Amino acid sequence: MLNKTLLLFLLLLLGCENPVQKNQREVQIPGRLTPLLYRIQIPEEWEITLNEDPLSLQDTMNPLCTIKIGQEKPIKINIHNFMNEITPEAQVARWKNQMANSSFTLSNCAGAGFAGLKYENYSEEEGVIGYALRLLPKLKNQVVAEMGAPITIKATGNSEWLLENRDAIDELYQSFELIEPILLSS
Amino acid sequence: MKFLIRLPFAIFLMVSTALLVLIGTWIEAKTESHGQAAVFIYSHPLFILLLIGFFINILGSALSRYPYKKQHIPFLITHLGLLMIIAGVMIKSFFGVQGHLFLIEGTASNELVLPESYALKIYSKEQVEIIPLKKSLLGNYYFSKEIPFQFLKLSSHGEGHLQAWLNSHSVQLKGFPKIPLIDLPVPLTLKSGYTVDLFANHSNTLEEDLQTISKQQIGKPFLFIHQSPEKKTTLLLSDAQGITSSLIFDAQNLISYNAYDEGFQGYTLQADLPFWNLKIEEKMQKELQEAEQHASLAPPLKFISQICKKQGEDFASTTTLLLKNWAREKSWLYDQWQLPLDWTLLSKDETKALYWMATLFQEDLLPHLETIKWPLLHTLKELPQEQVHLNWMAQLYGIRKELPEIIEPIDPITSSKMLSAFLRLYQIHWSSIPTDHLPPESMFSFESPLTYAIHEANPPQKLEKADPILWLQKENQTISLLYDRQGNQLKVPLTDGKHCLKFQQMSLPLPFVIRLHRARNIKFPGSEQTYSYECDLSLIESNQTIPVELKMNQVFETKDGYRLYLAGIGSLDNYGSKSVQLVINRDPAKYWLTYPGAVLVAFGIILLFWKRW
Repeated sequence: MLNKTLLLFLLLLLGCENPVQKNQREVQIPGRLTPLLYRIQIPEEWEITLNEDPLSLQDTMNPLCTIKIGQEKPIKINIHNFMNEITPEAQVARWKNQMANSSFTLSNCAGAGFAGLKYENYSEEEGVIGYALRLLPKLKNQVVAEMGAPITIKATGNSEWLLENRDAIDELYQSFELIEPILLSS
Repeated sequence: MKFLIRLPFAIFLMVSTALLVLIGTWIEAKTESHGQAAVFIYSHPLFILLLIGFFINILGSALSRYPYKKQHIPFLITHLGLLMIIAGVMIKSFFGVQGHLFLIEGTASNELVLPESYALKIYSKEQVEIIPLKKSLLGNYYFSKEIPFQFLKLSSHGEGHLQAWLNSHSVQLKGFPKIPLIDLPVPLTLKSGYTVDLFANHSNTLEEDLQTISKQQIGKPFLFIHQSPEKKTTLLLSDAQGITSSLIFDAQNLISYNAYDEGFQGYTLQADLPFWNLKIEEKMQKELQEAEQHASLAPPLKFISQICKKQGEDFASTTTLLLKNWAREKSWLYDQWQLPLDWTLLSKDETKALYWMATLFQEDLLPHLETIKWPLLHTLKELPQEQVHLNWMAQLYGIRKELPEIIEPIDPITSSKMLSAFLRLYQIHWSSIPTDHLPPESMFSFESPLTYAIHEANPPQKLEKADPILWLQKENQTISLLYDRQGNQLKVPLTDGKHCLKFQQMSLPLPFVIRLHRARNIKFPGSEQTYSYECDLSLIESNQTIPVELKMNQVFETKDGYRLYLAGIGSLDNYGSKSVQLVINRDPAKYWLTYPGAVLVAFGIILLFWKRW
């Protein structure tokens, strides 16, 4: 009887599954004016290249960092910030013009004090998953200079691969935040 | 004194406590307010006296058994446990902390806001001082340290709103003394030297009020300030022609305001209202002057210029006046012009055309042309209504050579009509002057002090919703401050221009900063119903950062005893940005008094019943 009870208990314990721990690493990203401004969590195997060239950073056409996923048909993720006020709607309108495929998915997204739009377009050749974000207006007067800059996180690559990595890219977006918190005081 | 340690006193205490708790529960159920029950029962000095009575009774009863014997052990354990619980409750109520903290995703704070606490916040340019307002056991309020004001009273409840432009008695415009409503209308001379008549009213009939004033003010500019019962204020500026511009202000939902010297010199609302016609007049005069000097004038203007030279009149102002008065008449042709006109300055055929235009013209033109059998009527019938007059004039002008001779001397009315027909022919009219690219100086800027209107009111049944008013006095100035529960009201500036005040909740600095990364509202799959609320936090203390995932009905406790509860998640915008309300408390005696006390009581009771010495 005791043995059966013990066996049942052991079986119950076997049923408990620990969540799979992914190997993630934190990367701190420099801004255009600020030495270290943002941080993200990415899987160990993703390659990241930080743009640390001050001259290159002066041009907002150049990204703050580029992340490469995979080798054969790599997905490229660029993170940009902009020193002028650009709405998420305007960013998305720009992306729409860049794509041959007129079918897309647009959804709201928000977190870590930023809010905006998520744009997804999977054409036959190349797809895009883009997040166009800006700091919440009510936090705008609590931050200095570059902390309030609008942001884009844009992944481009083979549509099939993008769809396969969609959740991982979303996790990257979910982990994106300012390194310095925005301090609230009454 | 022996009575205090005897059983009858213990029974008295228990019965009294039971009765008070009964009343407290009834009050709470009746008013749906724990605050009411707290004021009348649980925080009442009598209830605290009962607690002290319990402590004395239990302690005395335990000590009275001395010297102790073996059989006293269960009794002593139970009494020690009870004393520990009571001491724990007392320590918690005096030294414990309970408050809330509001965070938006991406933000951090260490300011724990204490509910139902009062503090005066004194802002100077150098510092912000927070002085708690406390309540004595006898119910009197006092500041915990000296303040540079005389404390007058604390009203139990008040109501208030932001006000500008108009209060119940007067109009308030910056740069003007207060204008009593009973004195209205009054002429208001603006900075640029223009005068408008000022009207103001509180009503829910803006349209009707406006109609009445418009009738009264025909040809006269006016400013009308109207406030609806919902405290929405409309500012409407009308020029002499009835061209109006307006702005609506909702003091409860301010989009923008001016803060002078960060609020130390007060706040204002600003209305920039374009006042077209005065500026059109200026612009037109200037352009006409320039055109007369440097450019070739259109034939009708050249004609007026020649007349003016003959009469010794100024061309620009004469023409402007003519156009303005004509526009005021709202007629197609103008018949009120008194200046003698010399038609010999024009060709005979041109004068003939203008004469017949003036003579044959009628406002309702098409039926009239039908009566006189106008040969080109069919072409006019095809035209849109607004083009009929001009095209008919063009037709007349085209056949000017074939027109009959002028048969009688031209009277002043016909002469005036001829001039206006001439101007119409070249499409020169007040309404044809573009107004959309006027320079910014054509705006009239009005400002009004932005202040709080506060009055005492009956307290709500739910005391937690009461917003008291703090009354202070400094020299001859009485200051009333409405409780700023959310901490988001404007500072109240003092007349010295160096200090501002706020009356709000107390806040305590936590030994750590809490950062909210993200908050989630997790829904059942395929449903809009919430399954769980979660948020990711970081507790930042000196150089250490502790990640915390806080879920609904889960508590996180820091190593120094602060307990964090997720009280609620709110949405901030349509994108899905979220805010979080955390409840944080700390009971300093919990682990070494209250919980061990409860264990001892339980153990003592077990021994009392089961162990027989």
